[in-house]
Amino acid sequence: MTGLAWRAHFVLTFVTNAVYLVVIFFLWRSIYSGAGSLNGMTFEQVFVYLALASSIFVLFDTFTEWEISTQILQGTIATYLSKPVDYQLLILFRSAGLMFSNVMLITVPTVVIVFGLLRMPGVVGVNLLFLPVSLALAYVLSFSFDYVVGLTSFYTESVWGLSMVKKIVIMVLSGMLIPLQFFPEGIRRVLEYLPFQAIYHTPLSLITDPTLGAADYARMVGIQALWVVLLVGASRLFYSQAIKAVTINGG
Amino acid sequence: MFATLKHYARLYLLIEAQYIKARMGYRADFIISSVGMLFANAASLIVFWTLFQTIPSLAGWDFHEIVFIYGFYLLAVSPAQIFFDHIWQLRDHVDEGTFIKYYFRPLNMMFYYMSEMVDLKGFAQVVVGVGALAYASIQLGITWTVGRVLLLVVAVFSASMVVTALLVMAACSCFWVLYSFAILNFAFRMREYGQYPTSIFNGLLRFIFTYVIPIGFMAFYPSQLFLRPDQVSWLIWISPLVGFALFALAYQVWTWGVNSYTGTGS
Repeated sequence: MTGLAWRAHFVLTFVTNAVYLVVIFFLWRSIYSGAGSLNGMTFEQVFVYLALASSIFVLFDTFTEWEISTQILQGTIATYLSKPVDYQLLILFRSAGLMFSNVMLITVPTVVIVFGLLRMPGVVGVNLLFLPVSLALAYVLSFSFDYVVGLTSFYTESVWGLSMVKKIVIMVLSGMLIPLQFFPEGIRRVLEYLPFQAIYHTPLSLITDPTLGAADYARMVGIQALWVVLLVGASRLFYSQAIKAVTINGG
Repeated sequence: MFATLKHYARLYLLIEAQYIKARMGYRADFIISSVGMLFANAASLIVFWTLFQTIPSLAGWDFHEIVFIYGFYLLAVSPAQIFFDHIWQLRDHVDEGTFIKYYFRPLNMMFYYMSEMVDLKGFAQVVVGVGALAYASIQLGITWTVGRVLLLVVAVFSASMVVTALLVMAACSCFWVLYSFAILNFAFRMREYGQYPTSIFNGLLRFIFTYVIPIGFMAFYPSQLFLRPDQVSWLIWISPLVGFALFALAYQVWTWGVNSYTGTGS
C-alpha cells in the first residue's frame, strides 16, 4: 500500500512537470506565431532552454532553507554544532543526496522527452565536457543562496517570505522564466554582471547556443567559478556572524 | 436562512479577530511574507512586460489586455489563498487523527475547519490585483459604470469559486488516498496556468481547460466580458455560473470525504 502510494506520488510529480512543459511549449509557440527567430533564438532553442531550466530548478530545489529553519526551531541544530564537522558541508551533502531522486524523476524524463521524443536541437561537441562542471558550479551557487536564506532564520525564524523573495529574484533575473536574450539590451547587460545568470543562463547557453566556442565556454565557466568563490566566502562570513545569534529552543 | 448567515458571519469575525491578534505577535513574519507575496505576483508582470518588448500581441491580446487578465486572475485566486489556506493541513489532520475534533461542534464542518486559518499575506495579492486592473483599465479606456462594477464583483466571485472548488476537491483526495499532497500540488500548479489566454492552446488542451479542468473560467473567459463584450460567445456569459456549480460539486466531495472518515482509532 505504501509502495503504491509512492509510485503514484512519483507518477504525479512527473505529470506535473510534463504539464509545465506542455504549457511553455504552447505559450512560446504562440509568442513565435510563425516567426523564424526572435532575439537571435529559434522557437526550438527557447523551448530547450526553458524545458531544461525547469528541470534544473526542480533538481536544485532541495528545501535547504526549510531544513535549516526546522533544525533551529526544533533545536536539533545543537547536535550538529557540537560535532567536529563543518555545518555548511553537512547541509550541502544532505541537499546533494536529495538531488538523486530528482534526477531520476525529472531530469532524465525531461531530457528524453525534449531530445528523444520531440527531437529538439542541442549543441553536441566540446561543450559537453564543460557542461558537468558548469552544472556543478551552478548547483553550489544555488545552494549558497538557499543556505544564506536558511541562516537568516537564526534571526527571524520566518522563512517563507525570504525564501519566496530569493526564489522570485533568481527565477526572473537568471533566465529561468525567460531566456536572457529576451531582455532589453540595457537590462540584459546589467543582468550579465549579476550572479543569478550563472545559475541558469550559463549552463543553458552551453547546450542551446551553437555560436559559442571553446574559448567562450572556458570564460563563462570561469565567471561561474568566480561567483562560487565570492558567494561561498560571503556565506561563510555570514555564518560566523549568525552563529553568535543562535538561540537553541529548549533541550 | 438569513439568521444563520448572520450567525456565521459574526462567528467568523470573532474567530478571525482572535487569530489575527495571535498572528500579530509575529509582526516581522507578516511583513516579510507580504513582501514575498508582492514579489511572487510581480514576477508574472515582469515576464509579460519583457515578452512584450519583443512581440506586439500574444494570441491577439495586447500587453494591457494581458495585464487586465492577470489582475482578474489575482483577484480570483485570492479568496482561496486567504480563506481556504487550511486545505494544505487537511492531509495532516486526517492522517494523524486530529481531524476528529471538527465533528464535535454544532457548526458547519467546512466552515469550522477553514475558519481556523486566514492567510494574511493573501491581502498583498489583492492589492496587486486591484492595481493591475486599475492600470489596465486606464490604459484600455474601460469606463466603469455601476453595472460594470457589479458585473466585475459577480464575475470575480464566481471565478474565485472555480479556483476554490478545484483546490478543495484536490485536498479532499486525502480522505481516500495517501498521495494527496502530489494531487493538491498538481492542482495548485494548474491554477497558475489560469493567467494565460486559454486560446494559446491547441484544440484538445483548450477543450480540457474549458470543460474538464476549467481553468479558463478563472480569468480568461470572464475577462472578455470587460475587454471585448461585443465579441463574446454564450460560453462567456454562462461563465459566472460555472463557479457556483463547481463549488457545489466540491462541497459534495467534501461531504462524502467527511462522512467516509473513520478516524485513526486512537
